[in-house]
Amino acid sequence: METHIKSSKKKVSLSKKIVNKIINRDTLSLVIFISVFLVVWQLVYMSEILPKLSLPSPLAVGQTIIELLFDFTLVKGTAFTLWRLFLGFLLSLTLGLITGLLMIKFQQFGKTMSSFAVGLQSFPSIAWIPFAILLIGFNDFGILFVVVMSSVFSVMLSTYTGLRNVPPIYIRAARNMGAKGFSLFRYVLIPAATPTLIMGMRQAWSFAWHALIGAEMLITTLVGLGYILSVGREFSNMSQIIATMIVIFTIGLIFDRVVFIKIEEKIRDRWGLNQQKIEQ
Amino acid sequence: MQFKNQYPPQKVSLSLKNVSKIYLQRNSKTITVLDNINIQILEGEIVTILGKSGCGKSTLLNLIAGFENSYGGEILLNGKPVKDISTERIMMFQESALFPWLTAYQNVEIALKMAKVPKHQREQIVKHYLSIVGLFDYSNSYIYQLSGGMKQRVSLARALSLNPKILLMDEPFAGLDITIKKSLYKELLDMHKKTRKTILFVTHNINEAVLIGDRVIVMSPRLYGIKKEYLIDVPNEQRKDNLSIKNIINEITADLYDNA
Repeated sequence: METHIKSSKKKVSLSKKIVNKIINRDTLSLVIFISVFLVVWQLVYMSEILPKLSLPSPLAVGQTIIELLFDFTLVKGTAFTLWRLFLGFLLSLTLGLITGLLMIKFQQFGKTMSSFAVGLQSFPSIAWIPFAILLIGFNDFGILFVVVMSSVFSVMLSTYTGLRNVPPIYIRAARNMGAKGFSLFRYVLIPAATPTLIMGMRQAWSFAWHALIGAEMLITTLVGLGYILSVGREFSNMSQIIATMIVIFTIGLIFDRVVFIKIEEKIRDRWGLNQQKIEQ
Repeated sequence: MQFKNQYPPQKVSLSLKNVSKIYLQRNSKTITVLDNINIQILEGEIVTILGKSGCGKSTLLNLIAGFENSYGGEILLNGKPVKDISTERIMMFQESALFPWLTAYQNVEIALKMAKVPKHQREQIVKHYLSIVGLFDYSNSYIYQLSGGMKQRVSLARALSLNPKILLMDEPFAGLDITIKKSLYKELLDMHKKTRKTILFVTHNINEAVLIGDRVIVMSPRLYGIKKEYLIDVPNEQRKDNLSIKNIINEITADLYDNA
């Protein structure tokens, strides 16, 4: 009996694993990269190529970050922004999934809707703002509207294509084994479509995040990271602006790298999609 | 010479009477794929259906499985007409239809899960069939980690887990290495000895058909149906170098390839 089996993990001792995690090539290069960046920034600041008022030193920005943290501006702003993000994302997921399912159920609707969805998916999120202000209002709901319109089509399309692209042989085999209607959907269709669904959710999250900050800047509601940015501009406070930008960047990075990529990688591993090694 | 079936003839499991299948094309022309097929399969038999590509053997299997529902004539399983897909007639496909998001164990289990079989009962059944195909130790492997032969063995375990009345196999070993094929033949026959499953096995490989089947039904595309039937009454263990088997293989080869 042949017992050939492909293994993707090698055995390493535990202590070596921990050391490797902390002092590895990636972390090192990241640290070097950031340090060089800060040094260059400091040099540019000191050389006064740009007036000192326009570009503060890294130290000044660092100070501002700490100030804003301690007077809770950043904390409050982050909290409100994230709250809007979660709410908007959840709404997008729900609407997108439902519409995607309807597109599968009613084929002609699906065909027509997918053409529109593809176009609307790449519609500039900022362009929704005037519409939102007049239709919904210059408030939280207006912001939510922009967030949802910018991200819902990604979910819709990935639901539609994900479910449509389930290999027919899986469906055949499942029906042969007695799966019908809901159990077919739950045990076969959804799991089979999951890689595509996750990619769609990741894209939706990213679009939502982009749309949100823009909307918060233009639909000023006294709270939120976008609001803090617009205030910074009004008072010509470059430190505040850069500090907020760094926070926005970090949050975006954390969610994408920590949450979505991890989920996607786990699924890809299980499906064996990470086995391809391109020889050089 | 010993007869392979040690038991007296069993009752008829699957019966095809005057089965025909015609496809209607867009230009109103008809394509006949099968015409006047008559087959009786006894319980516990392994019957191989042999033919070149396009002779309608897969269509025949699809009709029996219920994947296609319009046909002329009668198909009866234990006397009841075959109307649709059912767990009584389970098909094993050429490309592994195993689910990549589940482990080997979970793949065999899923059919039972959907049939709402209680958990501890599921455990017993899954372990039993995984052991029969010799893959119990790979229960927790994901499908991508298994080789082609192993995947088909898991597929076999999954097909058997629902205890179908007849097992339909559509060229399941076609894409595999010859050495692996040989070990799979042996496993299939060992499994058959233990379970006495009725098996209908479709293939285009003459050796395979004669090595596995108690009866070999040769199909011809020109006739849209059965050309000839051969009864193989040599016990499996003795078939490899048996002279009468070699004669049968030669006869079938001449038949299949001379008359196109």
